[in-house]
Amino acid sequence: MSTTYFALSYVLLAFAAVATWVYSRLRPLRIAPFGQLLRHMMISRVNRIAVFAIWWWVGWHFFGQPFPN
Amino acid sequence: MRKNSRNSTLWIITFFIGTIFQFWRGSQIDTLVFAVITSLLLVASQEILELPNLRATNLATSLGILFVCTLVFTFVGIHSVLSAIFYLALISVVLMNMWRSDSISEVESTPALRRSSMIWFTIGVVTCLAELGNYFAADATHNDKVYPTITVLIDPLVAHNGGKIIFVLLWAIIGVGLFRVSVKK
Repeated sequence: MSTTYFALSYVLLAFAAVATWVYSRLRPLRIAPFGQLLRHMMISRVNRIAVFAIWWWVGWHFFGQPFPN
Repeated sequence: MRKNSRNSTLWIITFFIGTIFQFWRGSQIDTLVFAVITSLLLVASQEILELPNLRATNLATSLGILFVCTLVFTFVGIHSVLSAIFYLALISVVLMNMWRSDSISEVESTPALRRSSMIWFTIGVVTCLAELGNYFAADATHNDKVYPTITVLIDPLVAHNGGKIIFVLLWAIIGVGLFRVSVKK
């Protein structure tokens, strides 16, 4: 039961992300859609490197790292 | 302070905290990975190093080969030295391509973009705090079932081939999507 309770924080965050994504698609003048925000962010070199580093690290962490701990 | 330098500082601080966290939890390889990324961000923000642009055809070929090899070796030998080599080669080529100068020095932001940025930033920060909170609570109580980190929740899903295929495909699709929005128009 406790596991469900604490894991729920991630479910709520996922719900917030999906709700934001849907709302921004319906009201793009109020909240810019995620794709538009990403295109805007990727103009900057530092943002590009940071975003790709995060993406890559997820794959590395779950599959690539040779000696996981 | 210019918006770009504020963004750079935020990213550098974020990855620096990540480096300290990885060091604290005793993961030497991840400490090194985060330290390298932090250093790269520091160098990138200072604009003191420029790399030659790869030709589009060479880039597409090398990235395509590396991407397929990385995916193949993820299935053949998960957490093997060989798969690690392909992951490292892949990120090296990607970062070399992403190193180009900012295409426009200062782009006008709209209120909608600022709101979107603030919401996604908040979701990201709260996710990190939830992850950290659960990690420290699990460490203190020796119970990661009650306080699961994201890794603890995802590991059982990717332990079997079905979950692994779905997760790797999602990861690959997101990577291709990011690459598409990042290429210079």
